[in-house]
Amino acid sequence: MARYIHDKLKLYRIGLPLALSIAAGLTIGASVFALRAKSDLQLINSISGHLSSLVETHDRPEMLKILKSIANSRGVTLRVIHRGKIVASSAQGSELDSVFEHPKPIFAVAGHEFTTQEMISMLGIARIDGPKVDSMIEISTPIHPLLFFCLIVVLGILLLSFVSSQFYANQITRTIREALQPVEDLEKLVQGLTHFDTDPAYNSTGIRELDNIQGVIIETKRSLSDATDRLAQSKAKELVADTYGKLIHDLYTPVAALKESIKRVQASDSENLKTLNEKMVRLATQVFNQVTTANASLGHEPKILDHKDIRICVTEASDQAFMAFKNDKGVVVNHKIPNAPILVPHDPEYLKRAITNLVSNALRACRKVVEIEIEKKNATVTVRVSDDGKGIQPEELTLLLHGRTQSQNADRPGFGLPSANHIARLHGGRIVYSDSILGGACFEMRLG
Amino acid sequence: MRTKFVFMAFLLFALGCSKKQESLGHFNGVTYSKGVYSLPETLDPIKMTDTASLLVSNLIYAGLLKISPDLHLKADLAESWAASEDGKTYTFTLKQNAKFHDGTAITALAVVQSLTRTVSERSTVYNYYDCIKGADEYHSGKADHVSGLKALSDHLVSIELKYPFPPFLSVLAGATAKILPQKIDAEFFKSPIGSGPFQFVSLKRDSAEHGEMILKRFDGYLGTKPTIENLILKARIEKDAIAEASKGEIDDLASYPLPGSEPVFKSGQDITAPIAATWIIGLNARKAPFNNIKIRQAFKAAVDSEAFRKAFYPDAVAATSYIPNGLQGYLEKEVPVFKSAHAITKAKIEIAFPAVLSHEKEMREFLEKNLRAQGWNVVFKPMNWDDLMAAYNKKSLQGFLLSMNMDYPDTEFLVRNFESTNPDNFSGLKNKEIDQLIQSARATEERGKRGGLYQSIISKIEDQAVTVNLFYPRSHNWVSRCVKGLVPNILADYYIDYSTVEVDQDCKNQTGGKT
Repeated sequence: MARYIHDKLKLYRIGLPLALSIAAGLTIGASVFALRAKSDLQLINSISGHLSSLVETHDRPEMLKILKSIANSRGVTLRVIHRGKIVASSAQGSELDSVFEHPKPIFAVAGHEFTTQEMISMLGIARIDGPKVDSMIEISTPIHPLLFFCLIVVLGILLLSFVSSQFYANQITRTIREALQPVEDLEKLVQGLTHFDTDPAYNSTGIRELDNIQGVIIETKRSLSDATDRLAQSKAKELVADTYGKLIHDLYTPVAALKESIKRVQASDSENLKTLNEKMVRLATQVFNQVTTANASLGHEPKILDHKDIRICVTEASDQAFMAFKNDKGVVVNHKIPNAPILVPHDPEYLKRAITNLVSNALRACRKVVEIEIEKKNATVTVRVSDDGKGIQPEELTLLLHGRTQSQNADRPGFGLPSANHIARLHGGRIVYSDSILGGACFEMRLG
Repeated sequence: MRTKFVFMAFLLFALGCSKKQESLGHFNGVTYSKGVYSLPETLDPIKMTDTASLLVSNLIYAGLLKISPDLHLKADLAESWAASEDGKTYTFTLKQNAKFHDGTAITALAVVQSLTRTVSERSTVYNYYDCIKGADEYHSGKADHVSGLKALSDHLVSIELKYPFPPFLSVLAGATAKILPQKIDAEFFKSPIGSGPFQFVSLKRDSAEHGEMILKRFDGYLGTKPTIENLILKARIEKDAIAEASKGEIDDLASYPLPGSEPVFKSGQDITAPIAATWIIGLNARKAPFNNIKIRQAFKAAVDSEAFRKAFYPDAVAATSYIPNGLQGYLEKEVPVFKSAHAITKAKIEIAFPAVLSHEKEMREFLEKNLRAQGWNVVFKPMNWDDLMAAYNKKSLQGFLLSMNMDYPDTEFLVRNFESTNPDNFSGLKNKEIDQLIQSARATEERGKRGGLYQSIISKIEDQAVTVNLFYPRSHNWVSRCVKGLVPNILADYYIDYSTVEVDQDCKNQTGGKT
């Protein structure tokens, strides 16, 4: 603010002294020249009668004395011109008796002519009640000393006015700064609206309007603080509901698989029992982990990702989805998974949920075939889940990815694809949809 | 009369040319060489009538007052002065620390004695000072002192005049009113002691027109201390002086009446100014046939002055009367157109002509041819300086050509030449009306009124035709390009103040002395 005022006053701090000194210089210069010319002419007028006598009597010694005296005291050059010749001069004696050559002026003002060096005034020599004398007197006043004097005056005024204006500008700046202090306090108060940890101190500015504004701001801040609390509670509830919604959705597949395993345990023979028990334990562990993760996701982002073999994650997700799937269509799941490990930084629990979602969707949407493929090209790893179903209309895709469709398993919005999309983004990747070579949909999760 | 002759004798021209120049030796400090057309006739101020003497007087002596280049009266030895109400008595207070070159103090008694000398029987300038009360008595030997001169104390002098004489202060500023020590013997002027800006060192006189006078700066001078440390006056005829100036051996030719067209001016400086002088052919009314006013008037009309001026001094001003322009009494009128007329006498007329001038022969022939064509039996006779001066002082010449200069800036100086009681009346004019007018002008204190009287006087003098007025000269003061501060004096060249003249030694060293 102070800098702004300082800059705004620059015109007055510099321009005003300049304008003042130029105006003063012109005025003083004109006055000095006018007064000087008038004074010189008055002096010559006063001795004009005597000079005319001297010219008439050709008294050059006396004329020289007078001219020299005047010239010495006034710093001018005087010449008496009689019938075109210089008969007396305060300048060099060599001029005497030579033809007077009128100097060429640059300009003339009020009967006074100006050259680059001198101001020249010509005056006829006349005597009162006497014969006319064909004589003139020329007064050449050097202009440089006068200009120098004017320059000194101008510089003096410039200096004085500059110092004065600087002083007044500083005073104005200080006064404005003091006057703006309440506004600055108000500004800080406004800036403090975003901080709800401290209650603002109420200091009266002494300015009623500003106090009113300050009061309104403080009230607004308190209201905002309350609103924020209420919003936070509401958001918390929403988050919890959303998290549990997703948890329930995500638990659907492992719990379904678990139920299927229990059925198979009851109906299986003893040699498959061991394998089923192992699967049930793994499914139960997964359910536990998902519940734990869902709890963590209420307030925390995923933990730091480790480089792990993504083939394991994809295989387990595929098996889990397939196990939970009621395969009454005789769906075949084909895997195109490379033999070598593919290390990708990821959270297996999170990513498995996303892939399970994609595979479960594909199993529901397909007619007979689902294909799961892992492809590594340069730094990008793509997990591609294709089916031979009827595919998805482009206008539905955005709704699907953002959870704006209805779940097929419960009376709620579909969390599958949005959740998978969210998890892919948390891993720095994304989910891309394309038409499947199998004729249905193809979802690609691109990581890296 | 007290005219100054700006010419030197031509007699020794050839001798001067053939003389081998002698070395002046080496001088320490700034040295300035000034050419002069002759050595001073005398070093005694009360006998000075030639310009060389007056020049030296102004260099080595000081007076109560002095004349500045702009013709102001300035204090010299006087600290202050005052005039009585009746204008007849002047009281001078001397500077306390004024000293002569030998260190002795300058006292009121020295002033009284010096001014007493000016009105002594030996003084040739007596008529300048005859207005002092008691001057006549002392001059004629009837009194042993001048009653108008009094030493009131060691440093206070009063001068009482017989009548108010306004130009008297100018007389006291002149070159003859110098203050000398009280003790003056026969040997004094061989090595004079003054109190001026320069002091005498030596004088070497080979002839009237060749020699050197050496002066050195007087450090105790109370006025402007000169920067020139050694001032050498070299007496040379005009031609030799110009030749030496061209070689850088002379710095100053201001004493010569040069027209300004000489080649030497192309290399040096031409400081030109008018000069209060008139070149005339003076006609002696004592001598036949000029004792006849009709013949004088006819002769005057027969001289084609303008043709002469244009032929030899074209930048001079045409003369309309005896009084030069710029002085009271100058008659401003058109120069009459010359009309040739037959001579009214067959009598032989001999006009003395100064042989000093470079073109004297051409000038003489020009005038002779012109006058002879009109039937005048006239001869212009070249004369050397000494002979011319001697004949002039004896008033034995029928006529003469001279430049009439002034010793103080007042027309009174010129018109008194025609006063019948003046022993220096070169024309022999005796006219009571003119005498009365001169006396009346002399006693008139109001300057303008006096100017009118001078015009009346000069008109009557012109009617008497005792002068053929040729022209009013213009001085062309040649100085080396290494010289600065020389200011011409329109009164006369011998009033140039050399204490302000400077020599640029770097310039001299660069040019090797050559101009």
